[in-house]
Amino acid sequence: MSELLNGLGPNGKLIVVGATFDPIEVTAIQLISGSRTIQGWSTGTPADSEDTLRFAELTGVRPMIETYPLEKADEAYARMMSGKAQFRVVLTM
Amino acid sequence: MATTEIAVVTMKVAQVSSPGADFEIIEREIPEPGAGQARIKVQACGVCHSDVLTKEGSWPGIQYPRVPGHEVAGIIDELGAGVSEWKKGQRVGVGWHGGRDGTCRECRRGDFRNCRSLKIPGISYDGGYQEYMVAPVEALVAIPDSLSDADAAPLLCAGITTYNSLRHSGALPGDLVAVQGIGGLGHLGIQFGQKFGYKVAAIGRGRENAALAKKLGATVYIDSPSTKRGRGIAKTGRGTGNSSDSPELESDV
Repeated sequence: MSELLNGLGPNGKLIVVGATFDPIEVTAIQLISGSRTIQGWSTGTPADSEDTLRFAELTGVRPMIETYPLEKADEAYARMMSGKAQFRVVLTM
Repeated sequence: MATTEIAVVTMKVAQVSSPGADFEIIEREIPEPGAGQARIKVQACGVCHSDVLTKEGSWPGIQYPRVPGHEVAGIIDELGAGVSEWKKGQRVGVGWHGGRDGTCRECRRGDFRNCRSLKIPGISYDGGYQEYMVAPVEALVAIPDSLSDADAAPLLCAGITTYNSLRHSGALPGDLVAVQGIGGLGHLGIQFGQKFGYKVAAIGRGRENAALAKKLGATVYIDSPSTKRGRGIAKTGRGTGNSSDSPELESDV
């Protein structure tokens, strides 16, 4: 991730959305040169979710999914954890 | 004399009985919604990497057994007392934001996203890995008719995260935005970024992902093992003369 910061332009921003416990390494020089920013972002309100769905409806943005029946929750979870799913795993009832 | 049997109506649930345990498929009584709550007949629920917090117990204070799932799409099946703004039969979803206290300093400022006692489905209460779930009405999201349940579900966490972070990023149409990782979040980030009018540089692993990245809307594909990632973006930025590169990052791949 530290390497990515070097790709930011002046006033560029790195937004972190993947939730992991891994530390992010950054030097002061990387932030100061070009006045760069690192920001975390977590989801939003239910109203933001409605905006997301309406925008997806308007523009045709759709997730690529793999579906599993509820009874196979363990298999679905293992598939998600494998990192090989293309791309979101969804249980259907 | 004939005896009257009271039928207990049950539902199927995928629960985690303790941190690190395997999923158990069990039957439970269908829960009743309390005041200010709705019961949802779940049609689809996304399996998000954050479900690991419930599965492995890495989020503090989870009470087990717990049913994970915070990407829920379904139909309102029953309403609790005092709910007038939602109707039975209405298509709704529930995402990560599963309820707020309304009284903390952040809520009083209207910053509900940062509520200090934010409730999260699948963590604070049972989520969507079950046939019926109960949620507070302030967590409900109306689902447009043209979106299927299975498509809507992942948009309630992976989708909103990429859409909402990009629209608040400060990046303007025509700016260069790099998306690190073509995975659960990244494949949506590329699509939203392209629809927002950004020049999207997708950073993935392997040449074989270039075609998919471009199909999703990326203008540029950067193969991370063969290119120094940062240098690849800088080169792209200079090429377009953009002064405001805003790489969006995800780390699930």
